[in-house]
Amino acid sequence: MCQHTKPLLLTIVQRSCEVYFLNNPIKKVAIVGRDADAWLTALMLQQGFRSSSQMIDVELIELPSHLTPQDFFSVLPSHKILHSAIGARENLLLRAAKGCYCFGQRFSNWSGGSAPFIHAYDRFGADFEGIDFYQFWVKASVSGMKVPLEEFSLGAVAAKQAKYVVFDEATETFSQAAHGYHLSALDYTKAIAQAALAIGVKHTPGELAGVKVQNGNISSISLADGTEINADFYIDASGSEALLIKNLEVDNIDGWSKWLPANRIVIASAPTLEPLPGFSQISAFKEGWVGIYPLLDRTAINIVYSSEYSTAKAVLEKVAALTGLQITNATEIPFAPGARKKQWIGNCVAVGSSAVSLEPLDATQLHLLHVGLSLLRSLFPNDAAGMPEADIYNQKMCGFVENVRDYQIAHYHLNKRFGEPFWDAVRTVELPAALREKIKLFESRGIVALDEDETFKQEDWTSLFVGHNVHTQSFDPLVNKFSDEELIIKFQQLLGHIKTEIEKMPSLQAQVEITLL
Amino acid sequence: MSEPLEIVIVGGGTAGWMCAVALASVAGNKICKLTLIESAEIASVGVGEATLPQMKEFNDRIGINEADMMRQTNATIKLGIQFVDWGAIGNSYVHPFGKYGNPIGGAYFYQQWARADQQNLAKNIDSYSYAIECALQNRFEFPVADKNYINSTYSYAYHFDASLYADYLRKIGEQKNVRRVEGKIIHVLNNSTTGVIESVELEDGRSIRGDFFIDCSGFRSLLLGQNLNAEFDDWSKWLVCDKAFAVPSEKTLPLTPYTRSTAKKAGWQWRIPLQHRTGNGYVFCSEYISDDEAAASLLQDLDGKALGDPRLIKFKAGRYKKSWYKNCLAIGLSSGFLEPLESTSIYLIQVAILNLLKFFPRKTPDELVINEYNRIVDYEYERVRDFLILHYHLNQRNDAELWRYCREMSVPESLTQKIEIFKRRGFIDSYKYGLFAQPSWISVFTGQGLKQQGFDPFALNLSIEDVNNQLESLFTEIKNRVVDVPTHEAFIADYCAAKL
Repeated sequence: MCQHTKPLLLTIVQRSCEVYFLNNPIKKVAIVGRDADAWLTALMLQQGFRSSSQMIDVELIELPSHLTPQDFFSVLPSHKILHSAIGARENLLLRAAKGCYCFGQRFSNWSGGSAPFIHAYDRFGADFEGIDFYQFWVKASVSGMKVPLEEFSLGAVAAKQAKYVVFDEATETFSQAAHGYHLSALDYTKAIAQAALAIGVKHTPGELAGVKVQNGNISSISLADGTEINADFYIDASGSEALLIKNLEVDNIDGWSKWLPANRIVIASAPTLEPLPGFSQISAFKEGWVGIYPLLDRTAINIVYSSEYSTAKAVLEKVAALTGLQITNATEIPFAPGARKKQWIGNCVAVGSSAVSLEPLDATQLHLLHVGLSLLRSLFPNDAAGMPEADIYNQKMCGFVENVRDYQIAHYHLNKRFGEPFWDAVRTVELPAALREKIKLFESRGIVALDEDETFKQEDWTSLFVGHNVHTQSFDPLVNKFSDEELIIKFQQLLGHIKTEIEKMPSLQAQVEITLL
Repeated sequence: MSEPLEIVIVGGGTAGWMCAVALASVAGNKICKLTLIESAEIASVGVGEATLPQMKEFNDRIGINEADMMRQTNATIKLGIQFVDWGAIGNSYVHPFGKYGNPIGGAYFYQQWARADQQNLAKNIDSYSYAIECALQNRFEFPVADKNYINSTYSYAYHFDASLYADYLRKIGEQKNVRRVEGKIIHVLNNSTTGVIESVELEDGRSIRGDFFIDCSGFRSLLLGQNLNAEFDDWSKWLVCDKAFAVPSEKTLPLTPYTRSTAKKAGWQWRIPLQHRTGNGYVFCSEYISDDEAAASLLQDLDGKALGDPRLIKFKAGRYKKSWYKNCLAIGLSSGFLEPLESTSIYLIQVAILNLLKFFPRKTPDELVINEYNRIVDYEYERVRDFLILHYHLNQRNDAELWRYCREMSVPESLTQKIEIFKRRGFIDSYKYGLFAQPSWISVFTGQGLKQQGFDPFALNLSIEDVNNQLESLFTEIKNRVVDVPTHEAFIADYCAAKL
């Protein structure tokens, strides 16, 4: 079954012969996996190589799907970049996936009696003379101003009012509002798979029976029907089972349960919401949290909790009471947050959930798959004999993964749900050093210490910290250049401007009806 | 409203006055009261006569009129640095302030170029940079904003007389109420319990107190190094040059819009053309050449008559581990020294000032803010350091011991990885903090003979013939456009001719 036998004639006559210093170009890539991880990887690689003079075979060995009709993805605005890399026509893809735009996430009940907050995909206010707007807000708040920070974010206001952000010139100067997506996982994956097959990905459905390892590399894999497959490069997209890479590793798992204590995820559905809200709703409760994600054909629900403190039945009842939604078709899966320390070993790289297992919080589903694929795009091995690319890939992935993890941990750690053991434990646990320093600096001076490889930017961390009531104690002294009167005028102008702009925008419902229905 | 912060700047060279004017312009009198102490007895080092494009942003931010500044400092334009005899004798390339073409067929331009080069189908990579072509033709005009045009693909910096620039800034500073104190510091008074600096005492008995002290005292590092005994990170095992002779010479024509750096037996010689003269210097390692020989060699290699005797400067590569400690921040040579091979001295002053403005101090030092400042400045220094080491390390010269040593020395791990992965497949990582981006690394890697052994596999999506056609058309586009650009001399005469 080994596919080295493409019609050679066709290609040879067209292309001149290039000579390489490296002697073993990758001729065959085997992706072993299932669902979105596997199909997105296959599509991206096939898209990248289909006009290549090197004749690289991309074969997807597709394992039986784990998806249910209830599954969904909540993804960040940056997912758009992946869509453009795979050449997707986004409206068609969204339509197929019953997809919907989402301008942020609304967090409720994480911080005791505090008001909910929106983490929108946007900046706050406008910087004055190069000084971060947040610093002005801190000063004004200290002086008694009561307007919440998010009121100065066009994206947050749009999310709350269920508007679809349309930019004009004036808005562009202070807002970068963007939307993420909610997608129905089964339909989305089906559309991606169709696209991958349409451009010639070789598709072999089957079950993995064996993996042969030689000198720290995978030499071949065999399927349940006896087929043996030899490839130069193997991509593990098999999900948390990590069927390929686990054969190459020793002590390679970094577990994060002490910071992210939930160990069960319940997925379910509820009827469609109308009109469509502009955000996903993320509410904490005694033993975990529940997320509500509008889709076009239903509302997706996930409940993330710890089995130490509750059961699926109990949390479902609680969530139904809490949300007033009619919840159906619930399924539960176990879950352990963590990542592989090395995601690329020898000639095998693990992508997506075979590499990292994060909570479905902060719309990070598929995000680390996306980061991995873009790194792989820059570092795709150019020689089958030895892949030094792995080192730099692993370093960079590790940076991204830990920073996203820290962002999730911060939600837990900064909770104010006193007297509940699930929440008390994570509030008092010792934090990863980088996160501890980030929080301290923000508390001290409202500055975000960004690392090199960060998914979330200054405004995201600011939104998270402020939303969770981290009070910044001192502000940039340069803020005092402006008199209180000047600041009041600037603030009023911004608020007025946001109000006017928002009024002009279409509702999310209207936009969806025009573009997606 | 709180009282303004009393800031005392010690030293009035380029660093001191840049700092004073930036603080006066951006922070202003309401926020801080500025005192600058300088002594006419102490000469400023003023080696940094060539700058980087970031200089323009800095000048804009502090409200400097470009043409006026250029007139007053005898400035010329700089489009890059020409490296001669680096890598190998007879070799020459330009590190441009601009890029080398757009991505072709799903891969970076340089990847496709490397493919074509391997089959001897490509010209030298310099031929595909608009900035380099302009530089070598001695032409200049301002870049256009529209990214669709080839003459938008570059930026520019200045060559100027650094002491005139300091004078120029001094005038602005004094207009903006910077108090200038003439005097020599003989004593620094620290608080015995908190360790913060409280005041400095001058030779004439005056005492000047402050809340915050900025050490711009140059190599002496009066406050940070001498007074606080800060720990120095010595990088001289990688950057072995420890002395330089500097001398101006008579102006020669044509007026080149680039700096030249020529590698020599024991170091390298710079050539910086100004409107009225040319600045020159020989940076060398005293282990491989005597002072007399070095001075003679410098004079011998001038292209115009020397205007004075060579002046000796001594230094050691490295930096203080923490340039901000409690209420004392060192900026410029007092915080560390990296040789001017890539004109980074003024850039690093600028980085320090901009971060000082971002992490503006209060009366009581905030350890967390100080740590963050130091973290970011560390990135900047270490990445410049690696880039400089690369120039020395990547060579095939067998004519002198310096070059053999540098080729064989072990370099920082961060640099080894960069070199190895480039060699293997042309991968260049990009980063958030730190100066040199992809085109800079490409220019030195390829300019000093490091060939890619393999390519980004995605580059092969385009046939080599198609790549070649695109290279040719870029080459022609650049050639055709550059002939219409005015000469550098004409530009200077028209825009900012100094009253000489």
